[in-house]
Amino acid sequence: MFTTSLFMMALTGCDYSGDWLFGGSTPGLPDVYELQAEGGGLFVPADITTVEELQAATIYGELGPPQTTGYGGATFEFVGTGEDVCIWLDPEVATWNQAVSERPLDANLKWTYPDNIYDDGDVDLLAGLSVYYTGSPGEVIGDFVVAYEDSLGNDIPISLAGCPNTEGIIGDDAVAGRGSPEFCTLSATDAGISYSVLLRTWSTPLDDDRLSYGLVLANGDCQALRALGGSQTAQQDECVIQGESLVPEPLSSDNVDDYLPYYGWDAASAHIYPRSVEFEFEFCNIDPGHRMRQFCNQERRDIAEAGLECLWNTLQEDDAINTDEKCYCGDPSDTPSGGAQ
Amino acid sequence: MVAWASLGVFATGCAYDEGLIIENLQGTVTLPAAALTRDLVLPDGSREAVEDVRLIGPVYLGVYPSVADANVLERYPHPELGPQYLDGVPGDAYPYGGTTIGDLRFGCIEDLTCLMVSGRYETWDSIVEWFAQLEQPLTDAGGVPIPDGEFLKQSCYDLLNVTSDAETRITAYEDRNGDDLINELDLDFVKQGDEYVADFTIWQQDYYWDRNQEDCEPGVDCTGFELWGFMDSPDVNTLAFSTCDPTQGYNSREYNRDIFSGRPQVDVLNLPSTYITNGDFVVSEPYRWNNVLDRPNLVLDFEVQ
Repeated sequence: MFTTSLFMMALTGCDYSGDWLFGGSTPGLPDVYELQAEGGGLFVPADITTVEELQAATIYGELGPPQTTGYGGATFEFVGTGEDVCIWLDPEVATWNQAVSERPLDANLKWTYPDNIYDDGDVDLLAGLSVYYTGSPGEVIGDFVVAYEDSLGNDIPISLAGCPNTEGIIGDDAVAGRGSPEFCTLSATDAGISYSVLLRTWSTPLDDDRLSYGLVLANGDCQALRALGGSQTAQQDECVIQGESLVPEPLSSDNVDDYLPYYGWDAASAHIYPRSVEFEFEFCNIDPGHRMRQFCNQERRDIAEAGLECLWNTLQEDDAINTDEKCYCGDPSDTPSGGAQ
Repeated sequence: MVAWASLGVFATGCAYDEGLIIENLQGTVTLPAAALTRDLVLPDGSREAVEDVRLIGPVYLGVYPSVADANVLERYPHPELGPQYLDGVPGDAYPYGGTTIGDLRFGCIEDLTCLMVSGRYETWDSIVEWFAQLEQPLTDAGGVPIPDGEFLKQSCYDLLNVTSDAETRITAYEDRNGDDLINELDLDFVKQGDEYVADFTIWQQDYYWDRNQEDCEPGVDCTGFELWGFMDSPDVNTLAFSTCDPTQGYNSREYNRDIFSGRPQVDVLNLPSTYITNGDFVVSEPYRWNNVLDRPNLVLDFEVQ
């Protein structure tokens, strides 16, 4: 009997696939992807001096959740210019911690509405000389870590990524949190030398398992891009790239090799979630006031008047997308009571 | 038979040797009297040599693959460095681990930010007396001179929401030597002859040894890592410690007061040369720790100049 039980246990173990640990895949959407410039080839940093140029240079793409225990993400390459190069990445969409104090301060008042936690994703941005990159574009995600051997023969991993060069340190803009823009300036790039950029998937949104993002590669320092976007704070960085929240439409092909991002605002604008740009503008709070909460209240009223209900955690089927039910703010009935209980 | 075999597998699993050597490494550190002696300028302009444990700053100990002699990497003995790959940032020493003897503490008033180390002051009064002796009398937030240690003690109790000296860990608070007294003999460094000696423990240290060495037993007789360290002496003018970041740490905001407690720099053992300054004392003869049961005595005898 005991012997039989052991055999049964062994068989059960072999039958275990662990599929439930992985996010659902979308046919045609890659989890590991090699980005290329429009028309193919290496990326070329854009000269950006106006908002229109910024919008035109923005690439809007999507990533599926990793289907293995390895990392997922996208990579691309460009050739150093001898000058600074800025990489700016904005995963969908925006997130905040809800203020639950019974008497919130003025600064926290605008955050008293809950966030829709189901529509945010996170990507970490790493970049450096291609010679240090260990991945295989479009096949396997790697990193910029090399092994240094000390005098006792022990290996010490050293990250030679130029962006960020202090991975893991809180406050580094290139490994910002969920939904937050991540950016990094590669200072004085070596002219004619190849650089690799890695957008490493950290989490895909829970509502549709499709992580959309906006990406810009520009000449110059990222602070110039911030200024152009009207941003002075980390919160306002959300508004440098606008419209990165893409509707999870059915893809034109089930073959991941056919997948292409949208190059520029004009190409992407018809596929951007309605009101997502307005939502981020309210979030950025570039105009003073408590407009975030006003936006959330209005969103709630509009949905109710239309006889609809907000979709939050529903995994949307390809043929059942109703963008009118998209809510950027969370469910107020989920609000905990103020103070520690 | 299968059942017995399975039980055997389970039993073997419990005895699985991961090959890790993790030990509490212990020993002592010795400071020469010169390391805690300074010429003080008296009000009449004359000089007086003062030898006092309150001049001992935090002592940082690290275990490294090797240590280079003076004038090889720095003008003082310094651990080996990894590659320098960032402009303006020295190579990293990649310590395997380490500890401190005495740690930076907050004296609960702005005047004492980055000036206090645990295990150096016998009483609260001795803090006030010391800074008065150094011609840097302590004052409260209003600029009024602090009369005695009781004021300082109450300030700490109120600010840190504590009720005992053991929680503040600024003064002597426990009978370490078992003589039923709590006094200067219960501080970190205790005078023995002409020197001052302190115990240390590096808790739960992963042991590293020469991977290329054969025919030896790791942790017993293989070539192990080297123990090295330095003492951060108080600045000649400000008495502050260079290993302390005064812009970080606990932030106290009350009414018109907004001060930081200071905190240790996060990479002292990784980039020691960034923080070692003239007047600090460095180990000139690091200890090669081959047997984890050894209890070495490390001497901080090299004055950086």
